[in-house]
Amino acid sequence: MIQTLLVLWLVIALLIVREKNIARIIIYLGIFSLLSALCYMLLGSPDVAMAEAATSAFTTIFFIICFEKYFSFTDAQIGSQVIENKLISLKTLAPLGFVVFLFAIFVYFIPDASGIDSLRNMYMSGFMADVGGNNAVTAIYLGYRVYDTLFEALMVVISVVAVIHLSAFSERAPERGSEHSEIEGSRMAVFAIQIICPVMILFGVYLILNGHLTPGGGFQGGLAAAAFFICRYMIYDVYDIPIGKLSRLEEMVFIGIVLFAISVIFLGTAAYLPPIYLPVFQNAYLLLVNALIGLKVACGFIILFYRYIAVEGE
Amino acid sequence: MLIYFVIVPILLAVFLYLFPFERAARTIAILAQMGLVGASVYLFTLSRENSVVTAIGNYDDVLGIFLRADTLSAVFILLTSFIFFIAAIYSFNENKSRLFWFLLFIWEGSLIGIFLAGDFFNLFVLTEVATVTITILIMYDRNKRALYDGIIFFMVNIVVVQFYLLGLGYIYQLTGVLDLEAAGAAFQGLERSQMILPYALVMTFVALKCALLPMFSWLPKAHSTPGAPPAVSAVLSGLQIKGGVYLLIRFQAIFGDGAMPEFFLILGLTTALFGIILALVQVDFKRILACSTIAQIGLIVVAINIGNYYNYIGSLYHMVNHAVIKAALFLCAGMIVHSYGTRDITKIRGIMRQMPLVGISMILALLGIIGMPFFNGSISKYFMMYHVEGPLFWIMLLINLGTIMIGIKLSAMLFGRLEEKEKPTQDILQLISVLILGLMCFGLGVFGESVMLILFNGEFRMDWFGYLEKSAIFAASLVVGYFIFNKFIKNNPYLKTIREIELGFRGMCVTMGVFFALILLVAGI
Amino acid sequence: MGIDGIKIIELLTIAMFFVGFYGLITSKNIIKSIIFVVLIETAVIMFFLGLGYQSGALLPPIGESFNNDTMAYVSDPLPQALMITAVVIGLSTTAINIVLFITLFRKYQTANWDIIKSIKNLE
Repeated sequence: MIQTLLVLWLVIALLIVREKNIARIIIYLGIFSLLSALCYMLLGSPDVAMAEAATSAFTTIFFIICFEKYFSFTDAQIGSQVIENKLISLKTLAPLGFVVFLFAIFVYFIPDASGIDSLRNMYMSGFMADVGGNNAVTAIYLGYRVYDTLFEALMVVISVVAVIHLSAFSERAPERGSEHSEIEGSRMAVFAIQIICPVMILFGVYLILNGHLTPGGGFQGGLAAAAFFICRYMIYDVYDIPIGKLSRLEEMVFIGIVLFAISVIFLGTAAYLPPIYLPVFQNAYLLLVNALIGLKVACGFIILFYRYIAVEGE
Repeated sequence: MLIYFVIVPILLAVFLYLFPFERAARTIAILAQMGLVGASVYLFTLSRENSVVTAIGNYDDVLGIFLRADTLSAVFILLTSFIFFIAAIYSFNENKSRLFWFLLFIWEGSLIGIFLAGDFFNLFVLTEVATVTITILIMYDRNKRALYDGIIFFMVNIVVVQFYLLGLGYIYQLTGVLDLEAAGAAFQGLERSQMILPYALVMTFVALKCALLPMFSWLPKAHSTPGAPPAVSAVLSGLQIKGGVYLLIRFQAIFGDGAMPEFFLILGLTTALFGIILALVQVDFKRILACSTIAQIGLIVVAINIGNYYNYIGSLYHMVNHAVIKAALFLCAGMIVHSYGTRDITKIRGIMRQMPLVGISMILALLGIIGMPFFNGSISKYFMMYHVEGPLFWIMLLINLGTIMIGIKLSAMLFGRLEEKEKPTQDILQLISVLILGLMCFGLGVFGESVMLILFNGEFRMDWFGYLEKSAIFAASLVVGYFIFNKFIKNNPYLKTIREIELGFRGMCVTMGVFFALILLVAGI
Repeated sequence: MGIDGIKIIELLTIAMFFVGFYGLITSKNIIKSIIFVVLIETAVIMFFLGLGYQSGALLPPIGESFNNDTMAYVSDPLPQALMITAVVIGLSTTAINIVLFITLFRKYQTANWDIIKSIKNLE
């Protein structure tokens, strides 16, 4: 099953390599991400699968906005310069030979490793006592390796700042309180989105609040919640998001996450508590950190989306 | 305790970004930098006795993440906080934007984090943070050139980090841990053939970060972008590249038998020679400095991989010296370029007349890098070439000859006279920071032996007779270098064609593949 | 090495890595380069998650009802936690990459690496 899916996965990648039309490439990329998420799921990692699904939605949207803004999809300038037309020529064969050679020596040197799973057994037997919750992945993500997670959150903050800085030349004036102009001619799309929207935000909140018990967590939930705003934009075409305030909120939430994580994990506060309160305390910690991360990620990606939309073409 | 060295700069960065009063924020930033220098001095004194270890969260065994500071990390952290302090003083009046200070502090936090990290994956996360920060900083004013340089730097680093991640996967598969020390212990029990692939993958990443031979093309672009603030170029060339060398030292130690010092020795030599040639053909002031960094890093990598304790310590000291020298030169370059309005060294003349104090610190730094006796470069180069014999000695001498020629090339700017210009107004803080660095070049040379004693905690006796001999060699090289430079290199039309050679993004990806294949094949044979 | 399950997954992911690498080497279009970086990132993530496939460890590491017998079938939670971090970082870098491209395109009016390089040299 999974081998078949992976072969299909590889075929789609090869199609992307050969394809010249950017619009098709973006659609292939969507299929590619879907297949990856499915494979992750089959490999026993629903958390990553969910993250990939949410991520791929955003990646696709970013690419589409990027294109819609700057090129028509059949732009000859983009399409013609990808690959030479002749299949067999030195220019195409030389890189192919090089890469096949790299692949061959890579495979030749693959070490025969007997998987050492002592660390897994230690995590699986200890995570409930050490960190709490029901999900070992969340326990590692927010407990054992929360130090990495802080930098990951920082990465989102920096990327938001970077996008705001780099796209700051000519912003479209925000049309506050503009008329709700529904998309012409696609009543069905609007209807579908109207149905999906409430489900989406509910799903996001569910993922955030149950991150420590079931697959999901702050990041996945935050992305789902941010997707709600994208849908809202699709229906109403409004720019009433106060980007400055939202970005300030995001940074404050980041400070909150860091301080909270320091005070709980790094200082080892749990050790001073009476054991009877420990599970409650741990669950509260996981819930709160997930909620903060969810809030931060949602803010961050709403800003990113609206920023991409607001960048004006020449 | 170590966690605060990383977290406090980052928290401060975000706090200052939100802080409403702009001038007060900058003052707080300077004070915080000063505090950080004090804290790292304290950490340094602690680490001299025992390496300081922090287990985050106090979990059993290697379940959590460890931060470790031994003498090596402590020296680098001291250096980082000092150079950032100087950069902050320099930028105080120049960069008033909040974004700049935000990024500067985050960069500092992630660099200190890299020096403290005790975990493979943590290194990945921190390098990504550093990469993004640097990208935004070098394309700070968003001009045409800077955008191209920035996107190349960013994408090359994003691609190479995937090699590192794959290597990390194999390391996890082989050893079952991600902790650096535990992995090092586990590698002891493995056969060499098992380590080849992870070693090659990880080293591809490290070699790109050090800008070793086939993969140095990103460095001149990133380090000499026109739009980047001078402080950024200074920290980039003085410190960031040392992060790569630091990882090289660490990983060579971790892989033990699997490491290939001879390979890196030869690579370092060729890199140094290439860097010299590149630097000699350029006319852009900042680009010359960037190419000279490639040469010096090559030299340092050579000395690390000779495998002799004295050479190793010499190279560590040379890293400290090079950071000070390069920071001084880049900051001087920033002031000079700002006042002359050009980066072409054939059009800049008479710095001593126009801006005497800047000229003096530039002279001090130049004397340091060419290895003038009693300046810092001479001490570290003495130890780097300690008991080196045979062809290696001659090649290292040749590299030093090249460095001298670069120095001569740059010194032409100091004298002579251009058409009369009114004296430029200079920022007093910038002057102070440049002068401090310039005087340090002298101080680290005169008190070299005792500074090394304090920093690296060992017995370093200089053989004065040998030092005299080296000084004589230096004088001879100076004369020969002056002669060769004027006779062959100045106004040579063929050299200009080398300047035009430049790799694009695809070319850099190819060099990555070539390096990876090379290291695999050499290790396999 | 035998052609059993793990090797097939490992080989496929590495093949994917090099397909992306081939794309990086050949494509002249910046957007395609960005997409190939995404492909390479996905390949690396799949590689990490496939580490436990050989031993048949495919159960999600969620819940408490694992005893010593069933423990062998639980997939390793550590690579999963690492890969969530990698996914987030990948998304952030892609977002930055696209905005870099947009800014670059506004200045140079082209998406071709070679043309941009030659334009830059003209100045």
